[in-house]
Amino acid sequence: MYALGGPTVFEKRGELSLSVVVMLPTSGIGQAQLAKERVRAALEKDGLFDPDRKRRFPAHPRRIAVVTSLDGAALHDMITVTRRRWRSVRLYLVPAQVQGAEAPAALVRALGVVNRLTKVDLCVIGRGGGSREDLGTFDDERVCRAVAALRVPCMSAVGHETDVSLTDLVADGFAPTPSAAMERLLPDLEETVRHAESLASRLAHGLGRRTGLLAARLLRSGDRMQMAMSHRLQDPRARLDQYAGQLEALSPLKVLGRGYSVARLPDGTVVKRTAQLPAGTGFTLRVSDGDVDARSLSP
Amino acid sequence: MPDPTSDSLSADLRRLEEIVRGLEAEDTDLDRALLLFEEGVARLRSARERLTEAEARVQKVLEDAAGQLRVTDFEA
Repeated sequence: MYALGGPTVFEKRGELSLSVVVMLPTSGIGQAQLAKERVRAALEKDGLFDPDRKRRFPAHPRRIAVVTSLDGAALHDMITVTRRRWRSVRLYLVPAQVQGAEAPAALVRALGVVNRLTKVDLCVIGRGGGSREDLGTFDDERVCRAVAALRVPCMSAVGHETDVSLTDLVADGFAPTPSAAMERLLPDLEETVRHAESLASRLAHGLGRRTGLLAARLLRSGDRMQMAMSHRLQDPRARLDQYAGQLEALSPLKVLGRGYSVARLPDGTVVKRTAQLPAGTGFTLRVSDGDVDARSLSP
Repeated sequence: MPDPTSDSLSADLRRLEEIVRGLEAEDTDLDRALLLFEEGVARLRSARERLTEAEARVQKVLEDAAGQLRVTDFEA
């Protein structure tokens, strides 16, 4: 290593002392660390680590851009997690070399492509584990600045054992591995369906409390739905399907199919008395297959 | 028709929460309850459509020599 300091010679004692001000490592790793510190300082100075810059990830992303290498287990793991966890999503894979001298430029290009993709909700950039030198790509200043310039929130997922990449600090969030990133970004299907089911059941109960004759029927159905909820073995999606179907069948508006209609004023109030419809008043008539605009001729 | 590209599922679930709270409130009258119920069923239907989608799709995006983006299906 190099040491920068001031020497002092003690002639009488025959000693030389060196007061070191700075020590610089000379090995390759030391150089890389120095470079990383320089980049870190530059990015920090530009405010790229600022917590206020961090954007939130959408709770139910629909389209995810994935910037990683086509070789390697990382991509395969990400796809596996996605298929297991949340099917209602499309992955846009933007391939890029993730190690070697060409990698930073390749990643910057790929991130540029992500910015040109319309309707992408978020981006994941990452790779699986590797040597310190290999992972150094994710400390590259150009790559970090390209991550910061993304139009959509970005999750950095570099397979470190312990270290942190600079892309982790610039991105809106980071995960220790690419598959962990997907676990974090994708909602759990089972949990989401359960949530929707409980809302469906409360919907039935909520209306049931208010509609005299319908109340008993609705409440019974609500209870049936709650029972169905405990059927953990059934495909959650099939369960939800069943719910939505039941609720639709429960709607008081179903009676419209038998020839009844509902008249509503423009603000949604249901018409019950002639006084609500002075001549000339506009209203809508809800019949079984839609709304009809209407106007009162009398009284 | 909800925008399929935005986070419509979150919006549907959030709105369903509001609707259910509205229906559960003591002071909501029947007219309003009916409207809320109707909207709730529509929101639930839209959430169900999203949750019952068949399979996650993986597509590869490449930039060709002319700078055009090409999107093709990717088989892992």
